[in-house]
Amino acid sequence: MKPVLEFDNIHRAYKAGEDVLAGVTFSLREGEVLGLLGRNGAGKSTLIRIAMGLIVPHQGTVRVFGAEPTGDPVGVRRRIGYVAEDQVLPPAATIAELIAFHKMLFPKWDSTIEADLLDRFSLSRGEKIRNLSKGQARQVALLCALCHRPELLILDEPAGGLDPAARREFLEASIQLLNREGSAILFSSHHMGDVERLGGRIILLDQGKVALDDDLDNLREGISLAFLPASSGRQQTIAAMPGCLRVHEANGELHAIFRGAPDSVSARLYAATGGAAIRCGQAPLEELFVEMVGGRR
Amino acid sequence: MSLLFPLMRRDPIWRFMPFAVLAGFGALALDLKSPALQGGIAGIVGSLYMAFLGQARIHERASTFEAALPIDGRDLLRARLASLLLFLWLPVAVALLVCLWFGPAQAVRLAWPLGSAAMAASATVVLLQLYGLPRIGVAKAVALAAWLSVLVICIAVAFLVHPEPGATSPLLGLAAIGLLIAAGAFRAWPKSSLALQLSPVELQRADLPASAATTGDPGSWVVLLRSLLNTQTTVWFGFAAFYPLLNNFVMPLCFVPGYVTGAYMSLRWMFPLPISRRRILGVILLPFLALYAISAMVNLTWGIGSDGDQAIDPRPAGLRLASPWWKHVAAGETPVVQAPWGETHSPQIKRVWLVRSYNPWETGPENSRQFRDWQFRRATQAVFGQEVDWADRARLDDLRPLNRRPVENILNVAALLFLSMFLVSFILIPRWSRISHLPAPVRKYGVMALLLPFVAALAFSPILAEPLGNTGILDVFSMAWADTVRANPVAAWSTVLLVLWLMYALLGKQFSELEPDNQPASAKGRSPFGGGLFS
Repeated sequence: MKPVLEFDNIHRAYKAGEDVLAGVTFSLREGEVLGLLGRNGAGKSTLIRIAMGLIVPHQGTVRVFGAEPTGDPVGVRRRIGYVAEDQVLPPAATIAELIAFHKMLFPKWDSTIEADLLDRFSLSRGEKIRNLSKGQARQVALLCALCHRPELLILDEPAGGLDPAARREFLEASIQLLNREGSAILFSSHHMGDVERLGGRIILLDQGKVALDDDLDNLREGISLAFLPASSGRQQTIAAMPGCLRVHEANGELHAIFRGAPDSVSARLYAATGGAAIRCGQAPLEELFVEMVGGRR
Repeated sequence: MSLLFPLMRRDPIWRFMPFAVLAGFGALALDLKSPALQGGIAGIVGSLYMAFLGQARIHERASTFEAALPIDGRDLLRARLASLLLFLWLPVAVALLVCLWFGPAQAVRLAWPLGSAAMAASATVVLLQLYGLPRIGVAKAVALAAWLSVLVICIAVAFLVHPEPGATSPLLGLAAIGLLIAAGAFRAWPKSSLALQLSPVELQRADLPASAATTGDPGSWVVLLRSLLNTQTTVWFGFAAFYPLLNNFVMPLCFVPGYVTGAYMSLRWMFPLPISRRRILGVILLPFLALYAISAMVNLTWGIGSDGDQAIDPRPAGLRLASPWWKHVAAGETPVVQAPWGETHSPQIKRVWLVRSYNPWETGPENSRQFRDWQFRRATQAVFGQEVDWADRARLDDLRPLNRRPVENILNVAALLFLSMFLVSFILIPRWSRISHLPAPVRKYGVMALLLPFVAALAFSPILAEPLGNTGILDVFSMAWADTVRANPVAAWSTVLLVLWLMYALLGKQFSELEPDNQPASAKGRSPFGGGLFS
């Protein structure tokens, strides 16, 4: 399948000498769902804004549908749906006015989806954006992003700040589009529940680089988390072992993340450490996230 | 009371102080250099104050952050009012102190216009603050009274900008009434319940009527209009239309940064949409420029800018002449005017930057009355197309000058538009992706440093072009240039359109390379210098 989005060695800084992104490379294929994970400030939103052509990389190239997003911004954005947590909608406009404006911009606007989503979200066309709740405003943004049947849906912390019911409603609408249209989805989120609901491939950004890039299923089943007592030189020994993704010390214990099944990882660690007491098991996604990026600041 | 100073220190108004002080000193310099401009000083200072205050959210008593803290609402109100009033009066006090150095008479003379402007602005600030009170439960009658007072004070400010003889006393009375209402509301504040005092910021108006549901297609561009025409931008549009009609063509240039920042913030939701940036720039900029240009052209063609007394002002000491009739002269040349009977006069050369000009109908104290009359007849022939005797000079009020000739008018308006776009280009620099790798302070303060000479040149152009008036500097340049193309209006139009198109195209290129959101959301502010284009 052709890639719809390609990042190649992307660098970007907001302060001189402090790269937010320091050599990010990956691509997203047609119909693929990719979740961007990372701590606050990891560069998720920056990467998404670069994909949207809203900001430019200081080094490296980005291609959306084979074109530079800043080279043909109108053509590229016509094929993208975009929802962001801090997205601004015109507060004085009514929903109907906003929809009319989007209809003009997107020739492939589907009024059936529009009516369906308006009904599903119980939105009134005559309501002004400024009078909507945060969740309703996000639903309007999603409606505007979905109704032109985008080939690429970009969601930047789309459900941030929404209550569980609104978040589920939001994600189900996105998933429905995915099933119906086969759109590629790039989303960023802090909520592991959202990530697990949307599924697909996960990329973990840490310190401006891709720290982890794998399918959700592989992460669920193929990653193990081991705890063992800290001792002199042991951390370096474990870090040098094949399959070790990260090892760090916390409260006198070493926390090690490995690719592989718990039994296999446990056995290898036992051999490498000369019989240390080891607890090893599969790591839930949230635990994996915390262990991969936690404790660095 | 112990919280007063910590709260005042946090007030966002202080970030505008350097600009207010600069404006105050600019007004002071203008006043000292040209006492004739005294009446306009209040206008200049008042307008700049209002421009800054318009950006400083003077109607808010506290930020959401402060409102959530356990601080007595009275402290918040006191601190906000004290900060705003200090902001208004400090530059006035500094200007008056500086003026004292030139002599008490100068300070006394300046005290009234500066004080009037600051007083009217103070009353507006106080009442806008008090207007917030009814929204948290104070009687509607007080709200109505506060609003009426604001209206009256606004009218007073407008009149103070262009004072009418004898009008200042009633205005002073009105302002005093406004301040009394303010004082009454301030006194009444402690009697309100503690709950209201602790949560003084009403973030969401509950009294907004729900809009009627409609299923009809409202038209795709309505949303643009609604976004662009908010309270803030409407004020800027008003300034762009208002000032040129009052013969002040330069002032709207000072408002360009405020307008562009406000419009940019209102329309930034469009950036992720498939709309070309050039179109967005057009939506932002063209209505403002069109209004500015139309207003300037209307005044230059039919308004007070085209009046005879603006063109020729006969005075016993000599003939004051508007710039379009000045002649330019090459370096090293000394013009000499010789009457048929042999009497001569060598006009004084006025140098504005690189352009040397002179009044060809100037007379000196050494010249005879016959020479003065001869020069006056020649001047009226050139300016009005008919000779007028010195004794009949009162007739000038009934005559319209051949000027404003269309070519000069076009060139002057084009120059204003060019300068506006030039200014916009400057203020876009901090968000220009081409320099996004530079540290933010370098981008932000670098642009301000670059802008200062430009703004100073604009502010001091009336001095540089004296006695030509506030469009003098533009007139002199346009006159110097127009001499070469006056014979060919097509060339004039083509050149103007080409230059404007080039500037707009460059601006469009720059705008399309703008990074709208390169800061974390938490760091964004609402003022032009704390967020938006300047963050």
